[in-house]
Amino acid sequence: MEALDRLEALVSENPNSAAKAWKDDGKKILGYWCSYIPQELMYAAHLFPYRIRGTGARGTARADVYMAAVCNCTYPRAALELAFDGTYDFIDGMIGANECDHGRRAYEIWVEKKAIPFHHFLFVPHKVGETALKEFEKELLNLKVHLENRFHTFITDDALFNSIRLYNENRVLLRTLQACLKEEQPLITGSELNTAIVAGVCTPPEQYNQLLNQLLEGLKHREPINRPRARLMIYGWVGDNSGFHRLVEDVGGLVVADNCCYGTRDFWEPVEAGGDPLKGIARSYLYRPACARMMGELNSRLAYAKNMIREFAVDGVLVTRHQFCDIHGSEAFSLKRHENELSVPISAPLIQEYIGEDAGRLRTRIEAFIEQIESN
Amino acid sequence: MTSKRDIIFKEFDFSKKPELKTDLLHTIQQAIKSAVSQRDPAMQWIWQPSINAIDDMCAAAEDPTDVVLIGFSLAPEMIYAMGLKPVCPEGLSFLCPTEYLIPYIDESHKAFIPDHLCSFLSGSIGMAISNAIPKPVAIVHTSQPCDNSLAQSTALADFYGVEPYIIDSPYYDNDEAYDYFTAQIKEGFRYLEQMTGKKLDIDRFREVMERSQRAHELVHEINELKKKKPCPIPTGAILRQVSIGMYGQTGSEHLVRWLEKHLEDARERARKGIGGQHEEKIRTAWIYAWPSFEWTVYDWLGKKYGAIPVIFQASEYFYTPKSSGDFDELCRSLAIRILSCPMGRSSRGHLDYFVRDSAYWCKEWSIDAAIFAGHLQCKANWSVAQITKEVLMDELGVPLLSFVVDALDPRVTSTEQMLGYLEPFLEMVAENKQLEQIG
Repeated sequence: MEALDRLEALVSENPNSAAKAWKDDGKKILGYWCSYIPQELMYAAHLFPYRIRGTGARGTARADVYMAAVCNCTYPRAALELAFDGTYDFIDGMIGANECDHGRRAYEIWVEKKAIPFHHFLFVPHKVGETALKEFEKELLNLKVHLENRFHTFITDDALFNSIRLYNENRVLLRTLQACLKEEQPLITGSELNTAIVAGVCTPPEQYNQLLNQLLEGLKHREPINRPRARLMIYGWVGDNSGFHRLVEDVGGLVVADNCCYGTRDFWEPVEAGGDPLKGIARSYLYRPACARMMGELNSRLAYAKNMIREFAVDGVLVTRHQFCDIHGSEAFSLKRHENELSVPISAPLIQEYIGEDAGRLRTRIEAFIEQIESN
Repeated sequence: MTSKRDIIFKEFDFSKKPELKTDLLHTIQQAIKSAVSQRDPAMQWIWQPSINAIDDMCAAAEDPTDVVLIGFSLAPEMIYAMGLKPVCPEGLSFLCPTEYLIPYIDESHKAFIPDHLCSFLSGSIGMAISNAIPKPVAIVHTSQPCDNSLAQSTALADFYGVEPYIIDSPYYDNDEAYDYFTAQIKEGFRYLEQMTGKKLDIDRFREVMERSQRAHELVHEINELKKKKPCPIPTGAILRQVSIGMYGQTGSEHLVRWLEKHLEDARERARKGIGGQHEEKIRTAWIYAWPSFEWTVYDWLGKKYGAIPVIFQASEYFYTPKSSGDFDELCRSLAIRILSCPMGRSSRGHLDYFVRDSAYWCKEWSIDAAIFAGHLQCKANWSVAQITKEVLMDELGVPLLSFVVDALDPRVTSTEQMLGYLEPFLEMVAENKQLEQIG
């Protein structure tokens, strides 16, 4: 399918064709680190929000000088490597956040060691609640003013509403695509959908909406896939590509739901479109389905997982993380404790690296888990 | 065993697994008291903060009705002010003898706590799930200093089925950040009142804060005296005791009394122009972590190289403003004090805090060599080691040694391996100092 091929190309190239075209038009691109940094705000300032990823990195030798490989995640190390080798020279600025210790430090080292025309650190509260919301509103207002001053623009409420509308359209389309996976024999695979989701962080929203519409249209002319051996949910962190989803499909499984970054959490709820748009963005981002970085929110994450399991007829949950990820890593402790409540088998944690993925080992582990489900 | 270094190191035998359901708190209490009793009687006062810490936790366990679990970088003033009993689980990991702690770390891994989670915290989770820690009535935690702590609080709250109160630490240090933290401290008191049925006594809060303030003043005075040559502290071990007291006992009377004794001793030594047990030749700053499974190593470094620990990051408290007056002021003062604590200050915020604090210590305390004994699971600080190394050398000519170690678990880096890093480094530092003296 042409739309899928184009989405795949957008995901796998860095910089991708959308970024090159944007630059050719003389417009600015802003790198951003975490899904809690609202794309809406950047786009309302006429900037293309392009998520910092490690796409294209073959190693992490230069990054490892500053981020010890003995305990730091390969994902931000790969991104930092691309900063050092010049791959990211096309961005006109960058917004970091306290997403996790690894990502936060990678951002700081980047700013410290490599000249970058604009940088801003967005503090994202680690909890939900009215005090935290007020703080986040202030933080977003500071970011807005900084963007306006640096990029000589004025971010109007109309521009924000327009941006919210575009990104909400993305979300609606993604939910429509996600709903396809409720079918016993869906028209789309989990890896294809994941590719479509990831493309949203490196494609301007209008172009992205067009591609998603084309994808939905294309699906109407497609044959359903074979019934999978097991319908699985991924819980944790699998990174920014569909490699893990493909491993599941290689052994006859299908990822039909997730509780992941670069997954459903990012588009499950729309951003509020009434009232003060900046406050609406703050509330919607803070109160959306919570990442494992959010403290005191375990119950809401479990409720989200339960809902996914029920809605998508999930047979088992694959718990995943990148090596050295403490926040997703420790979540496995609680998931196992709540296995009965979730009513489906929960796997032991599957640990990955961003570069040099050990596909054979992971495939064996996934297959063993599917066999466990089948034997129940 | 007598090594070629003519020094006796501990030998660990982890093949004999202790019973995990034993009364761990009293086992730790006995072990600490026994170890201290074997020290020179004139020096035994130095370890009093460890004794106080474990005595308090044993007392809490005996009557657990008012136990509140707190994160180590929260500090206990809030809990004391409410007349409740703070228990800091990771404090127990530190106090626990290595041979007892390791099985609890392993126990947490069996329950899917990742092996890259800080061993202070995984050890404490292992203790919790083995029922070695009393069940709390409330849990108050902060998001500082790092993701490890954040993950631990989620696991403990889930295990005990206690709704936690989270005090979210800001990234910045400015008035707005302090306002944010202050507002949460106030909410935290309401949470404690709700969970325990007790009421905050403002007068008691004021007294606690006055004692906390006094402790900070005393540490400040002691640290100023440490600038003298030789450094007027009886042994490097006292630095670790300062950190135990300041992390876990601020606001208590016994900490103030101990710090007064420490200051008096330091003043006397400074007046006489004497240091500790070994002649001072190299002034070292342990800018991050201090492996504590084998204390003999520090004596050995003092004996062989005259390498005296003058600075230990976790005992270097930055002076905080005076607190007096009304509830709002007390809460704000407490907010600033918590956000300024070591680790909290350097790990939650921009890397510059770690770098500039290290440079400040090295400059102001005339440090010859800095040591980054990087706790393996400390992602936030391991990402600052190289930049700190560059800054210390470029700005001050102070070399920095960095190596991987687990501060609690000798299975990662043994004492022998650690000395393999330290000895050539200190030889180089000593040689350079000699060359400098020659001219």
